[in-house]
Amino acid sequence: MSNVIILPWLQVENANAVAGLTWGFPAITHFLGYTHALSRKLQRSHGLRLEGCGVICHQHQVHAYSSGRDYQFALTRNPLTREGKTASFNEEGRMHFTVSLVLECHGNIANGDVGMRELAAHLQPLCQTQKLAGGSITKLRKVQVCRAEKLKDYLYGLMPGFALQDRSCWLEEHYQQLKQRNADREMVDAWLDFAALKMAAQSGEQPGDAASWEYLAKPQPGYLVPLMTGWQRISPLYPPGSVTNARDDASPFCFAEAVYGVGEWRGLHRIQNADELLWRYHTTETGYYCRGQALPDEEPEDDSYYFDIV
Amino acid sequence: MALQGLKGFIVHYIEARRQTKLDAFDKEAAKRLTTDAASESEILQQRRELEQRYEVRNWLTDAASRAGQISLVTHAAKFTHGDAKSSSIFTQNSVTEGYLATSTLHKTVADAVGNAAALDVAKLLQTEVEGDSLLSCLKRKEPGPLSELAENPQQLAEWIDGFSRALTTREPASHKLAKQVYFPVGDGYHLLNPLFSSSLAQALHQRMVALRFSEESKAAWQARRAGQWHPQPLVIFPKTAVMNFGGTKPQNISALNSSRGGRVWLLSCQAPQWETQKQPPYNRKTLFGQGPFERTTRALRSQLINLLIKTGEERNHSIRRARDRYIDQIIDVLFSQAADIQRKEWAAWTQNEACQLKPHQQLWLDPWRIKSDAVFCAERDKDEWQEAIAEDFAQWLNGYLRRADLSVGKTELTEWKTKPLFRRRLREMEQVFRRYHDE
Repeated sequence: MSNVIILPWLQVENANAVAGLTWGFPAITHFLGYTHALSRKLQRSHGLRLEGCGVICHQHQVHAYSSGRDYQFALTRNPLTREGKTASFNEEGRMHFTVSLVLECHGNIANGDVGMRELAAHLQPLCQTQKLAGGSITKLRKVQVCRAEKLKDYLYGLMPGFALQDRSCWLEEHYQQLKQRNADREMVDAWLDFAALKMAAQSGEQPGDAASWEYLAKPQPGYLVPLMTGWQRISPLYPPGSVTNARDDASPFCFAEAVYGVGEWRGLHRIQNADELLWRYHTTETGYYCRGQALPDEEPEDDSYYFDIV
Repeated sequence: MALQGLKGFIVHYIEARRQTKLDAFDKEAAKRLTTDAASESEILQQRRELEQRYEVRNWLTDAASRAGQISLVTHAAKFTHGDAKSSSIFTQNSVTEGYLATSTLHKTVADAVGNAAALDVAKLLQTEVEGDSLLSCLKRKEPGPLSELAENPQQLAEWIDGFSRALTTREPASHKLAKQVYFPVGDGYHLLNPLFSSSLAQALHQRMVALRFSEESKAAWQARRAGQWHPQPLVIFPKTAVMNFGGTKPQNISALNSSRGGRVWLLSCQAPQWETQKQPPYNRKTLFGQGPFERTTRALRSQLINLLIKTGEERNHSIRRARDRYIDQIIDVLFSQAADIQRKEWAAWTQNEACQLKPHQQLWLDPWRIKSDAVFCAERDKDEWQEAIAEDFAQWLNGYLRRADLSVGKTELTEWKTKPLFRRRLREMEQVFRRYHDE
């Protein structure tokens, strides 16, 4: 990786707030889709290719309300049908949010620093013309282009914010543990454990004894959330042109379902390099995924600073 | 043995349907006899016809002919839009790649879409008796109980052929109201038509219903309110949202959707939301202690304390890692709030009369003051304030731990070594700020 492009404090209105069985933030697939669309434009104009995309969330506001229990989405009923009646409609969740995006840029940027500044200026209006997660971009601070190694210097400008990281490896790990204890347990149980807050009575042993109720730990510490991370094929891959009403006759077509992993929202001051931030496309025989760095954990273990102060 | 049970179920299912029909007919007949001049023999004739229709073999033949009006699926198109006419799918995929998908379910519950008038057939096919169902038999290509009920091989073939039509997917088709997504693969793209997994939603729904409304859960909630012990833990899903499919007519979407009342619960994946400060922290001596920081970290601290109490003296790698991750999360909140306060537009806010912050915290939280205040800048350059803030943080955290510690009667936690980690973060942040500021 050579360079990164930072789109700081991108303000988006009316974006999609529902991703399959999760809500509250657009699916990561939207952000990679946005990156890919931008990449196609840059490839033509500058011969540059964008691949990974990092997402840092600063602010978010979902259009939903709650009277105590579940949230309901605030809905609109428009446009009307040709006859002026309200159209049959589907519920959808909308949200406003402010994020910073870090895009991984491959290829040579000519003219060094000057070229970087020119590229940033070129991107400033361009990246606001695209939709992001179905929403419109209404504001954006100054676009920055820098060498990947220097990213850390720029992150300060993106504080306060939380970066989304891929922790899907913990889902499989936790599932295997559950299964060892009880063979009936399914992946969905493991997934729910990452979304749930559990409390258990701590003292006493007979029902009715006095007890205090304490929060139980999640499978792993961290601000963990269930996440939709891509698709899995549920039909054969049909050859181009064989499915009626497909968007084009040139691409292979298939039916797919959303798949789910686990993500972590992490404070920015802990990010050491661009790789920790970036999500990239990953395809397998039947899977279409977005994947973050596979490394499950942290900085290299360094014991020295556990003992440098007593 | 299972076949016996399944056969019994089929016969019973049809009988039950016949009985309801007959009851309705008899009621109607009694009325007709008194009001108009319908002859008794005519009514008897009609009743006999009805009985015949619900004779097991006749009914199965009829049901087999109607089975084509419905499809048994795992993914229904109408969840995307009520008028979407694209294909629905019964997935055969068994690939699991570490993610949650329909293929990870041990047993997929099939959903039924199509003519709501033929949903009785769907129920016949789907109902499980002793772990087996007619649907499973058909999928295994075994005639199952049907072979015992059929008069001759010809009839059996007719039934199997008919019922199987609920399983076969017709020519795959998309629709203008379906979603289609391009996904880059190699040099080109694959076109994906995402469908909602009603089977997976059902698995989730069953678990949520049990956790929320089961008698056991209710008892546990009650025990907690009364401050009493109960063996079952309470499970809460914070910030769930509810989405409705099909409006007031959930049966138009699918049979399972109807059984769920059209509702699907969605789990929150929201980012942490901290309180954006409207003004600098005037009238406070320290950022630690009572205030937004303490409020936001309450749950984290209690989880950290639980971990330490549970693990006691043990200090293996994974426990230490877990401990450090909790502390990092607390530090996340602190740094986010600090960064929020270190705003350029608030530069020199610490010069305000209302500011009562300790001097070293002023140096920390008002970095932009260096632009206008040389003395402040020189003081800041000495780098001694970072030590003091690390000290503040450690004192604050230790205070909490010691309090929890005393209550459970453990030895003190002087070997608590969070300070170096915290100080390192602080040092790194400051380096970045310097570079950022100089450019």
